[in-house]
Amino acid sequence: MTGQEFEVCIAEYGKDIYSFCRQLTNSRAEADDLYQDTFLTAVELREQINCGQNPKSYLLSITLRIWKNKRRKAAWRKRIADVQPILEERDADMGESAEPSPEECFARRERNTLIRNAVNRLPERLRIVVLLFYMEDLSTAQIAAAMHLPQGTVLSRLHRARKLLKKELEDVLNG
Amino acid sequence: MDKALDDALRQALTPDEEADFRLNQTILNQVKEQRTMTENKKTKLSAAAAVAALVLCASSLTAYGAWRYLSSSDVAGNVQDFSLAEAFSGDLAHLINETQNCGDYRVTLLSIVSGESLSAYPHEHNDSVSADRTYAVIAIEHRDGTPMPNPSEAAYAKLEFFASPLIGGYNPALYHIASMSGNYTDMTEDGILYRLVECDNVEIFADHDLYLCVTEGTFYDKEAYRYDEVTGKISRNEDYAGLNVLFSLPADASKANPEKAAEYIAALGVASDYVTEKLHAELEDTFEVKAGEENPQGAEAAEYALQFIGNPYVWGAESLTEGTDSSGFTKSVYAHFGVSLPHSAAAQRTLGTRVEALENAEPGDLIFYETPSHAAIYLGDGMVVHAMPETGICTSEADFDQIEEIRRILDVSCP
Repeated sequence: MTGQEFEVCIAEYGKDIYSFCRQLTNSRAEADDLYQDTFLTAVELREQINCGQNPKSYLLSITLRIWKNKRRKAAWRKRIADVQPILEERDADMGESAEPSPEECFARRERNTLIRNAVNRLPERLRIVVLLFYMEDLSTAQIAAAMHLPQGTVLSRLHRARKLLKKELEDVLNG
Repeated sequence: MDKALDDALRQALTPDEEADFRLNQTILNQVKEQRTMTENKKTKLSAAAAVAALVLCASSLTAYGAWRYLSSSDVAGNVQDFSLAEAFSGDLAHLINETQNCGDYRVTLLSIVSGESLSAYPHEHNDSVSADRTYAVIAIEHRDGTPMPNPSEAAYAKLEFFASPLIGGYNPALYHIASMSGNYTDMTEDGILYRLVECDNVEIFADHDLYLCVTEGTFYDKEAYRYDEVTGKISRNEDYAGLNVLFSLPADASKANPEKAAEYIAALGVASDYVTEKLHAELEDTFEVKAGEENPQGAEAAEYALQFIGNPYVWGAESLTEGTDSSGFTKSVYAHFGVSLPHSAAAQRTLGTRVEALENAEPGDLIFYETPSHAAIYLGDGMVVHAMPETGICTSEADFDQIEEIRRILDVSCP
C-alpha cells in the first residue's frame, strides 16, 4: 500500500475501522494503537492484498489478528482489566451531531449507550461477530473469511448473540 | 421485535468514530517512511492500478437474512444428533441459505450434506441399516411473522409440510422421500419451523439435476410440480394455488455413481412397475368376503377393512378415517381385533406364519410386495384392500405388484 492508496483507504474505511477498534477495545488509547497497527501492517503486507476480498474485511481481519496477538500477552491483558469502560466520555463525543430536539436526542443517545453496553457485555467471540455484522456490514461469508471460521459457526454465533441481546434489551426495545 | 432488534443494533453500532486527524497524519508519515526504505522492492501493480483494484473489488455480496436462522448444525444438535451436527459444519456440507417466498410462506433451504454414517442415528430399513444418506435442513416461516407452532402444541398437528429431494429424470410422483426411505424431524424456535429431512443418499444421482421441493400436505402433490418426461426436468407449476417451492441442489457430478444409482432404483422397485389396471380394480358392491378354513377370523378383519375404502393416504400416519399409509392401515385394522403390529411393513412381514402362495391365502392374510414398504390385506378372490399413495384406501387385484411374502397373523396371535 502506498501513501496514496493509504489515503484512499482512510477516506473510504477509516471511520469503519476506527469505530470497530474503539468498540472492541473500549478505550481511545488502545483504539488508536490498534488502528495505527492495522494500517501499518496492511502497508507491510501490501503485496498480499487479495483482490477477491473486500478491502474493508481484509483490513478488519488484520485488526482482529493484531487484537488477538495483543490479548495473548499477559501484560496487555492486565492493562485491559484495569481500564474502566469510558462510556460517559463516549456520550460526550456523540453529542456533537445535531439532533432535532434535545429530549429526543438525549433519549436516543441513552438508548444507544444501553445497546452498546449490552453488546460489550457479550462474550468476546460473540461480540466480534456482532460488531463485524452490524457495525461493519460484512456478510457472514466475509466474517467467516476474516475470522478463519466456518460460515456455519459465524451464523450460529450471530444467532446466539442475537438471542442474548434480545433478552438483555427487552425493556429497551419495548420501552 | 426481531426487526426492531436489528434496527436498534445497526443504529447503535453505526460507525461514528473517526481517528484523530493527527493520528492519520502520523500513520501516513510512517507509511511514507516505509516506502522510501523499501523503494527498490517494486510491486507489480502500479499505484493507480492498485487503488482501482481496491475500490473495484469492494464486494456487494450480502447474506442479509441468513443470521435469522439457526445453523443446520444447531438444528441437528437440537435433536441431539451431534454427529450430524458435526457433519453439517464439515467439508461435505453445502451451505445454501436460499430463500423462496411463496404464498404465505417463506422457505429457506439452509444446507445439505450427504455421505456415509453421518448421523448418530442410522436409518433402519428392512432389518438392514442404511447409512449412506442425504440430510437437509429447511426453515419454514409465515411471511407476516405469525409464529409457527411448536411441535408440542396442538396447532402443529394441523400444519403439514412435505419436503423432499427430487431427482431430474425420475418421475417425482414415484421417487421422493417416501419411497427413498425418508424421514424428517421438526423443531420450532423463535416462531420458525425447522425441518431436518433425510433420505437415501441422492448424491449418486449427481449427474442429474437435483431438487428439493416443499409443499403443504403430507404427500407428494402431483399438481404442484411439472415433470417433463422427455427432458427429465422438474419445475414448479406456476398455476398451483398453494405452497410449491423448488430449490436446485448443488450437484457435484464427480460424486455421481450411475451404476450404484441404477442398482438403487432397481432395488427400490417403486410403483413404476405396478400394473396400473390391476391396481385400480373396482370392487362390486356385492363382494362378499368368504371366511377361509385356516383363518376364519381373518375374514372379519377383511370385512372390517372394507368399510374404510375412499379414506385418504397419509404417509407415516395410521388413522383409518383421517389418513394412513399402507402398513399403518394393516396395523390399525388388526388393532381393532386386539392384535398389536409394529408400524413398519418390514417388521410386519416377519410376524405370524408364512403362507406359501397366493392360492393358499385366505381373507385377512397380509400381503407384502416387492415395493419394500407396501402391505395389503387379502380379501379373497384375488383381491386386496390397501392404502395407496395415489388413490387412498382402495381395492386392487392382489398381483398388481410382485408379491414377496404372505403372512397369516390373526389366528396365530389371537387364539
